[in-house]
Amino acid sequence: MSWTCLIVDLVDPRRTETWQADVEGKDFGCEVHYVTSAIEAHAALTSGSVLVMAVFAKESSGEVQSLLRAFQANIGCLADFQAIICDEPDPKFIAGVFEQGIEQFIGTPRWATELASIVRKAIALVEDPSTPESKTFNLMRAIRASDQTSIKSAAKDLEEMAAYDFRMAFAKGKAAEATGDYSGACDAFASASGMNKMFRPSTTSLGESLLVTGRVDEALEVFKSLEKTNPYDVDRKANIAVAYVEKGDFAMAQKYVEEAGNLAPNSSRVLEAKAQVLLCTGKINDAFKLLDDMSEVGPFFAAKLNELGIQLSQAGKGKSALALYQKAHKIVRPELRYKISLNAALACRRLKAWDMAIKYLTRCQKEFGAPYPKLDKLREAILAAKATDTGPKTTEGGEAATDNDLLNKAS
Amino acid sequence: MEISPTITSHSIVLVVDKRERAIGMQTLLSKIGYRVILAQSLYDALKFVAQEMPHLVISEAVLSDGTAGILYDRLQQHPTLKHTPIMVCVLKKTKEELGVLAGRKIAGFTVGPLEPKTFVAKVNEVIKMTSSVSPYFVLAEKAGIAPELNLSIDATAVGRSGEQLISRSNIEIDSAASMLCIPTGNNTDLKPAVLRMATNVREGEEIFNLFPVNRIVGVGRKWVLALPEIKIGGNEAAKQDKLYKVIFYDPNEQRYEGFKEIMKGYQIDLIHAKSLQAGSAILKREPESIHAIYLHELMSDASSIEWKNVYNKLPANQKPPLIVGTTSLNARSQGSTRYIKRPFGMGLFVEMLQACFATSTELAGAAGKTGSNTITGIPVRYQAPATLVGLDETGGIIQVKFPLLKGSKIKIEHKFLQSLWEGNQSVSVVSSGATASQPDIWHARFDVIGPGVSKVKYWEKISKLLETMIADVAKQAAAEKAA
Repeated sequence: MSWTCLIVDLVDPRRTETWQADVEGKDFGCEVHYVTSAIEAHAALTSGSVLVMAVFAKESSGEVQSLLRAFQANIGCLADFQAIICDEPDPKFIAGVFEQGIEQFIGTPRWATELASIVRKAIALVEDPSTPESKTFNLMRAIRASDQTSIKSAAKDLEEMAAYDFRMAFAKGKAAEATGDYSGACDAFASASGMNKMFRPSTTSLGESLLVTGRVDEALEVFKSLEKTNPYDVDRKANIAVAYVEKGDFAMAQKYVEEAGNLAPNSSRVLEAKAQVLLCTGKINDAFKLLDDMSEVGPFFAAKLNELGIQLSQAGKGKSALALYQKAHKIVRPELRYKISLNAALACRRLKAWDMAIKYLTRCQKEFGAPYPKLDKLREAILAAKATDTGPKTTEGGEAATDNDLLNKAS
Repeated sequence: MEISPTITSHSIVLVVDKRERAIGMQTLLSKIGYRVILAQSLYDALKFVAQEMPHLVISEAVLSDGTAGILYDRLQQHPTLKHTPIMVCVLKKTKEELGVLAGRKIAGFTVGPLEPKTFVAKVNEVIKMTSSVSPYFVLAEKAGIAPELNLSIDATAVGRSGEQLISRSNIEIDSAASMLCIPTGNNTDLKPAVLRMATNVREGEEIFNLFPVNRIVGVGRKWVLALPEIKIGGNEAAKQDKLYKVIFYDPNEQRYEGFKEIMKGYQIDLIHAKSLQAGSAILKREPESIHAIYLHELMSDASSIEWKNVYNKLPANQKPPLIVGTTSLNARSQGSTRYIKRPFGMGLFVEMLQACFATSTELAGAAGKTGSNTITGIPVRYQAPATLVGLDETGGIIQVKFPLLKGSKIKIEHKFLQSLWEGNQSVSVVSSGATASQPDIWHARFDVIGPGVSKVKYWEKISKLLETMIADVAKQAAAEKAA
């Protein structure tokens, strides 16, 4: 496979003219790609060939954080495959990137030589199928392709190592998250966090999984313990805000939303937290407006959006539900999209929009990427209903069936 | 093949009749790092060359008991020493002097009275051309020696202290090293683990290697976690609320403020020293309450010298471990001074500080070396793969992925070398340095011959073994061809 080392320069655009001279004669062992904007970098990260990313940055910023998150989502939580090029980073910056597990800093005088050695090491590791790095890389590929069969196979491949390697335990948690097993994800992240208390991505993910599984107090405790060693992390403040929303403490939620907003007003995670507060306080239209600016929405908010869509559909507001699902589908992580497609199919069914329902089911099947017997049965039921066009089925009591009822019957 | 330029200390036999003329040359050469052996006659020169196997002989053309030409001819008669390059200094361009150069493959010469710049430049040039490592150096690859080997270090894992695995060995391990830790005792259930980010604590002759448990991976984590807890600093419960005091010298106050807030979360209380003088004042005032010191940089100016004086004067049991930030890739931690390469990551900094809190005396006591405590520990071997670059008259050079500290006693497992060394595996590292183009590739020069052993005899043994090996390979190839 041909790899790429991605260099993102957020500091000095004039380096466009000199970077090639800097890397010339250094043995990178792969192609070097240089970009000067986060947008270009995001595009490169989704290309599938990037293995190592180095970011020229002077301070902690939303752009840096989003790049590191994008690397984690596309390539994997491989801290040794990422580096920050900077001479004297301030403590907030060091702590900020440490949230993503990054500890590798390179000074500017010898950046090309040092980066070349990082790249050579990374290539050697990823090309050896027995290494944790290679296994993580394969798993993340499967997750990005939201291919459930490949995810399960990649997760099985790292199962044994997860017992004694925090990186593998973390990857196992990610696999569980991607297959909707949040309880399994909690266990895996807790194990990773126990093995390496300094590896913050696992502790953060543990808190997020606890939130999804409704263990709000435990989640809050996890987030607050992390907050002690870095009170400047936007995502965590947003998570704490969401936890307080779940507890019904909107004043505290608002406080943390504001703190997060002060640190990074345009962060997608802050918008998620804001939207959550708005949704829970009945300001649904205001929440809707925020959806357009979000990206890579995680499982917790995705679940909330699904829940809201189901409520709208059941309340006879099928079109509103579909509008919500359309927006939600654009902003959630790829591995979470199939659930939205499934709910959209159910909403269409309720609206007797049979063809549309079948289209959503087809999309859901594609996004799920593995055999999904429930879908086949649901498709049969919809086709049968279309043939007779008898409208939505009702329960024995005569009320409109819930989506769960429909799914249960289908299975 | 590129070899680290800093690891070889070249030896030169300087043959000059008159001591007063020799002194100037000797000083010049010593200043630029050459080891100079002075011979004041042809007789001495032949003796020293046979003893030392120098990388270069510099001789005046005419000597009291012969000439550089005779020296050259005599060395040419010796199967091993004939490779020694000779540089000749012609002082007066007399017929006799110039005659020495005729018909002989002299490696270089200077003409006229000593001119320091030209002389040094010529010596460097000749060394570079004839023996960048040693004139006897053979590359393993070219000699047909398999380059793969394992290097290992014997140690004993004695316990855990908080988040650190504590192990006792006879060498300091570099923080950049990543090594496999293999239990070597009778219990075969104990599996290997990978250890990284070592820090070292020295107590007299004892060296303790501390490895953060957080960074340990591998099946062997299980037995590491089951090691007995070594209680340091008294009651562990009381320690939970304890804040460790660290002097933090950084002229940038903002950076201090930022670190202070974050470090508090790790139970570390930073005390700001705006200058090194301020740092020394705090240290003088309350050395016993300080658990560690961080210096953003340590130059060689007056204030740094003053700092070193204050620090070095402290009694060993009151000397807090010192972490010095540096941008150099070659600064290696040793003793109570540990270097951290700037810019650094948060985890690295925190774990380095945490490792400072286990003091040497407490460790020695708790690990059963000074008191009645008798923790036997688990015998282990740290192991890492390495590559044999080549061999020379005193030892050779290996390539590793991390620096080995000077003076380290290591074991080398390699079939050819074991037969050469008659089963011996122990070698001692004399120098180590990164290659110029790849800072992650390190070369370490090791010595294997002890005092009193003749370099010539050792080298003749290597040559014979290599010849036999080459002949065997040729025989095998011929047999294969015939078949």
